Amino acid sequence: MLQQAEPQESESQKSVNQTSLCVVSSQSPYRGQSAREALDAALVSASYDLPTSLLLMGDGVYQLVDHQDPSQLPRKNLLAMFKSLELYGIETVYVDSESLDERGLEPEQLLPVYTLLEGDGVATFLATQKKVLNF
Amino acid sequence: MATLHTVNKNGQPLELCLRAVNKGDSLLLIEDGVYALFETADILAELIRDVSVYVLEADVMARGVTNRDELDIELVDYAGFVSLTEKNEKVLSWF
Amino acid sequence: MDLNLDKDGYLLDTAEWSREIADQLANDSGVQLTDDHWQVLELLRNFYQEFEHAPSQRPFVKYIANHLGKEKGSSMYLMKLFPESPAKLAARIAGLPRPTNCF
Repeated sequence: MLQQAEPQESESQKSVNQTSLCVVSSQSPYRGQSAREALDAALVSASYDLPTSLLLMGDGVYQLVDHQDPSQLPRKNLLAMFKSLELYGIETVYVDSESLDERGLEPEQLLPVYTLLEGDGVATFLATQKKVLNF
Repeated sequence: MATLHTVNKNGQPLELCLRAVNKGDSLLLIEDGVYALFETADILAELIRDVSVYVLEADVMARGVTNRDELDIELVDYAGFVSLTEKNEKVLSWF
Repeated sequence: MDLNLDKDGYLLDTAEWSREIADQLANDSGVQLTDDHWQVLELLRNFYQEFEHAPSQRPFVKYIANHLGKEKGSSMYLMKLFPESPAKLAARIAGLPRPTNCF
């Protein structure tokens, strides 16, 4: 703990205001229900005005590949849900750039609603989050 | 501000965890994650410079996994797991 | 008319929905549908088609504001038309499933 001159009250007030949730989604879109559950969790959180972010890593980056058409599967189109994030106040989706490289994906292949995190970006970003939920 | 990371499998869960850890964090290997002592001991050897690494005793014993490379890794029981979660600000589980 | 509803009173098959069914569902909830209601219900069905889920209140209000302007795009306006729990009530009358991200 750092010693500082700040009064206790304003410090605790600050931490209340900074409460934030990051949902980390790392499974491919049609493997189980994980991707859908991660999106639902983010939407619920944002519906309650909690500052919420979504981070795609690993196979999770496949969720944002454009032109997905699961109409022949008994599944919902997750891209449609990604397109609604802005209405929930989630302005961007964070994407681990290294996960794209490993899978031979170009950023241009993704739905353009993302921000790339490069290098130490993921670790730095997660360290600033109050709560993190993995899916 | 430190974080406890748990990893329950080698492969993607460990890889993503490596990308998310910061200096001073703790890593606890659980379930099949303890096979990292065999499969990716070299990665753990590098990691322990910045991160405290723990393995869950019950899962290590069940799988007959040994600390073959004599890494500076601590064995914890379930009570130790709980105290790790208490010592850290948040817990991230990679699976 | 006998409707196929789930345990929470939502239409099981959204394709079965019609204006008559909407009237019946509204009556069951004590709501008399006016043109203002229909305008919102139509937008809600558009939202469902576009985003493949029934929204909670906040995003739906924003969606209404984007399409009908700030005056109608407000929680107050929505509460007036669909009292108590607007997102759930409107979804029910519009023949959509229960909003998943809405408790």
